Amino acid sequence: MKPHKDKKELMELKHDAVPGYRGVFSVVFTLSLLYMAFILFQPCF
Amino acid sequence: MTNSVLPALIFMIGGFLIPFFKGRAKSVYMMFIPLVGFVNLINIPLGDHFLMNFSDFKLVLLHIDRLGLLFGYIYHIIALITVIYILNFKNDVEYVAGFFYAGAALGAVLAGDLFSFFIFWEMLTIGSVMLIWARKTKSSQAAGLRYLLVHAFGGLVLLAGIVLHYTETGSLEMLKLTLSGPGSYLIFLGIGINCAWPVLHPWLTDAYPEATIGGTVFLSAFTTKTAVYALARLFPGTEALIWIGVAMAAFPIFYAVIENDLRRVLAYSLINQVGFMVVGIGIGTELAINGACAHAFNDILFKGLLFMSMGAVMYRTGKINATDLGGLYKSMPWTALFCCVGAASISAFPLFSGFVSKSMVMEAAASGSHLMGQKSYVVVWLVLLFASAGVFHHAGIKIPFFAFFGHDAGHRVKEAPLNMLIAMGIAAFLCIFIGTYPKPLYDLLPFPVDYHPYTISHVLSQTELLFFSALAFTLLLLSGIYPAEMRALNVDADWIYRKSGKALYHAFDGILNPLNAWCDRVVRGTASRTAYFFKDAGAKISLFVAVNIWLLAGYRDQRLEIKKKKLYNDILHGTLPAGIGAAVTITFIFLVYVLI
Amino acid sequence: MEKKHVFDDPRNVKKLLKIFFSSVVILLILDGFYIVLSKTHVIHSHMNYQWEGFWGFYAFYGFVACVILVLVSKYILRPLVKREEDYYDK
Repeated sequence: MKPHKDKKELMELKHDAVPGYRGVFSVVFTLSLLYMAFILFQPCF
Repeated sequence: MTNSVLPALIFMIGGFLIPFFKGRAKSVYMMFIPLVGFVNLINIPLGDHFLMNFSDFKLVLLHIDRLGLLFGYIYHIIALITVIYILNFKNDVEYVAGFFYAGAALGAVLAGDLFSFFIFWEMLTIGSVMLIWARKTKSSQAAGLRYLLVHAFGGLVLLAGIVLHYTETGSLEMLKLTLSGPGSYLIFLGIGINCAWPVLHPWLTDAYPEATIGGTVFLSAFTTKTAVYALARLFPGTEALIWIGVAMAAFPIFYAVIENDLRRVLAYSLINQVGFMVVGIGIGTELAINGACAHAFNDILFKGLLFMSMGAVMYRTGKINATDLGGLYKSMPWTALFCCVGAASISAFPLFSGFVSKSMVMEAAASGSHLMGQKSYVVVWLVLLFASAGVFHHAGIKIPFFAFFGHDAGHRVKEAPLNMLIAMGIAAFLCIFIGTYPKPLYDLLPFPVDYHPYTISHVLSQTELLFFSALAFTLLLLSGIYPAEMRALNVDADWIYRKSGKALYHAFDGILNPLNAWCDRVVRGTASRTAYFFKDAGAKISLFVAVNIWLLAGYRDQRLEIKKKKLYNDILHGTLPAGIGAAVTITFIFLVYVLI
Repeated sequence: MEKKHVFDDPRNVKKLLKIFFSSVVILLILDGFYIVLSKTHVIHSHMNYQWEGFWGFYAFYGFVACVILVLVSKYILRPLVKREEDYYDK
């Protein structure tokens, strides 16, 4: 997300990855998904 | 009869007089109209007014009750805010159309019978299409025309429904209907088109982003909310609405994530919010109806505020695509702040207005699921919770982030004009005021309210939900998974009438023409064979009977052939002597009798 | 020389992220306290479903819901519906 000054219309605005975050995301998401699945398999009432 | 004026007329006639004012007087006059209208409205007592006898029909032009009044109040408030917002545009078409449109919406929510309701409903279409055309671009002309066609069709469906309903029941009263018989179904569907039900919705996402800057603010307030009002009036507790509303709340958020035009993102989230209201009306308990109405009230304010902030961005930079924006907090800090207030309100953050109304619908769905035979409400609740998280994701974060923060597109513009800032400020103030002190809103709702939004569990759970959906956004963005903003078009259900023209032609050409030819062959073949058979059927049957008799009588060979030929020709040409004809008939009947 | 704004400085962005991540963790800790207090009936808790009694139900639901929302939009919906900008004019 570096600012740059060209006023040309972009066709695409990509979001560059910050190193290290993909791993954090994968771990957090996998764990949450498993935990969520566990909760929703419990009876709701 | 009271000495008050029909609220709709104040707006409509007042609007038509705007072009006669000039300069500062015009601005003052325009702000004056909603104020006069409001004073007029609060002085009308409850009950029916402006009764008219129109041949056999008893028309009630004005019916004041709590449900109608709630919508009447918010329509006046948003009309005033929007008028302040558009003061700097100096576009008389937009002013007149805006007031006409607002007046029509007022007339519809305060109409006392189906026929007057329908008249105002149609005016709503006229006013709104003028606001789209006032943009005067090629794409807005086309979008306006499509909008007009869809709504003209919707109006016809509604009218057909009202006529059928009248012939079935003999009543034009605006009372609760049950879905039975074609009349009620057509009314239901006609309202559904204006309510942007799934598949019927693309007029909204197609046309709203094409309207003028102020026009979109007007549009976001009236058409769908009037439809919500009509559903709350005519179809409360209709179970189909729950599932329609669930679909409305769920599907637009997926589109909103990949949409580039930020006003179109807001249009999708508008459908999402209306979905919550429709679910509430479908559940139909007092809490649910209250929740739906309160959410409609709040949505008009925060959605208006979001559209105003995006309009201000568009006014200053001339851009509205996420790919062309970013970093505007530097040059438009106030607009950014107001946008964040709107975003927090639509996401239902504690202390903001969405928090005190959306949760009423959620609570109604959750407590409804404990009743017998309503276990499926659990699914409703889960989807609504999903939609609540999703709305923060696309409307709450995406809109402010891509417009005001994120990648700096390098726009160095002035802050929005003062009148726009004032309008946004009023809306933002109301969002926070209702969010922190909901009692005045609760007092206006159709039923008595026994609901307390600020419990520890509710505040904590809602904050968790929102912070973790923000966490999802942050992690997805930082790990580069978040989908890139792209200049592209996302096909929606409007494909059916925008692109399928050609496809339909080819389909007809490829399927229907051969089918037609085949049918032609079959029909002609069958017909000619049938004709051939029936041409001499009578003669053949008579001949069959007669030959047996003649054989019994001893005719043989040459004489028999002559007799056969004569009989055949006589029958075919109808020159049979009456006696023989009668004899053949009787023999035939006798034969049938014997055979049976 | 243009004025430096708050988020032009990467240190401020980092600081904001740190504050955000800590508040997320704090919320989960608070939720733990809340569950203990409501189990011991210090706080009255109003629950419609058993699910809500699990630690961090709303938090993880919100997180998972949003990730799924984005993944479905990106990998399923966009390939299906994305067209050229002038698709309808052709």
